[in-house]
Amino acid sequence: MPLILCHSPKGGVGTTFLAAHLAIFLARQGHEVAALDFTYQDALKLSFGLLPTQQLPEILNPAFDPVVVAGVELFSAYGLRHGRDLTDLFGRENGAFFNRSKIFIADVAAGDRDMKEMLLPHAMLHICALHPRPGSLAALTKIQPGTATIELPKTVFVLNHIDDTHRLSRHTHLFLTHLFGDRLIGTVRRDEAVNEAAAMFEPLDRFAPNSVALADLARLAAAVQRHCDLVVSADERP
Amino acid sequence: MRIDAATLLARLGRDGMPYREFGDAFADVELWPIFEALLKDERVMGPPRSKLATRELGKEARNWASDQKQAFDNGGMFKTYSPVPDRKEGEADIRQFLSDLTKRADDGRP
Repeated sequence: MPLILCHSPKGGVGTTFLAAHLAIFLARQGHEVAALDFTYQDALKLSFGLLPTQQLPEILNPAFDPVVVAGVELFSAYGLRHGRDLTDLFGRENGAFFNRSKIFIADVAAGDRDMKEMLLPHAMLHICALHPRPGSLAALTKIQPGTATIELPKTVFVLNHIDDTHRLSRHTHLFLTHLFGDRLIGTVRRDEAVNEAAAMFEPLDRFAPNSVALADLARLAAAVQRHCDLVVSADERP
Repeated sequence: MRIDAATLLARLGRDGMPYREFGDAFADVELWPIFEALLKDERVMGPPRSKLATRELGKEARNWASDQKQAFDNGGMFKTYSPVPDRKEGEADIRQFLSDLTKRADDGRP
């Protein structure tokens, strides 16, 4: 049950956007995927074209009706506040819901360091989104107190919102490439179509199929697959 | 050519327009103070290495700067948007290079 934890110490860098589209692309590759929204903001569903008024089922609620969009099961996990909740979440077997091959992608708010710390031991991979801006770069000092950022064993980085017409953006890309090497697992170019699609309550691939961000997201998903050695089992193949 | 540039030129009916991507001059890839601050921060880079460890990592790091200049001269800046090169083997060497770079900044050398 691979868990991919999406969390950045800096808010507003696109963590939710990346979590949602990683889920979509992995589902498109044939994986079983569930996306868990641990945030109070409840914004994960917007990337799937859902309305703010549409509620996601609580993950630990046995009476839930699953919401499935683009092949991804969507859940709210904001109600999980304790380690015991996580033990229930990851420790129990429940037939159709939990299976060993389903990928769980957790979207955790920047300010929710407690939840990030609770999830990290269970995670196969921690994806930290960055912006090519000083505030986001400075937050590289805050990812895991006690461990140097360049030595974090489970953490990879995605540079989001790059714009090669901007000098600092280009230089940041170069700097991070050489700082992190292949742990800079992906880059996503800034595209206003991302915001427009969300404002239209439409998935990005439907609203703007030529968006440069989509090509970048596809490469990111492929890189995550390789990094985690995610293989679609024979049972999951369409 | 990038997909968005090709799409735009196609829409304008200028498919034959010569298109060239310009890379940053190596000298322009300056050490922004924010980069320097991160390189000096032990929370990012870890504690300073011992002299023995530094000496053992020294050789290959010195080639990094000339490799980068060659990459830029070949218009390689935008090629970094392609899959990131595997730098696992050179990661420690990068740290040595960055350590040298910081020291040079401290000494006021370019």
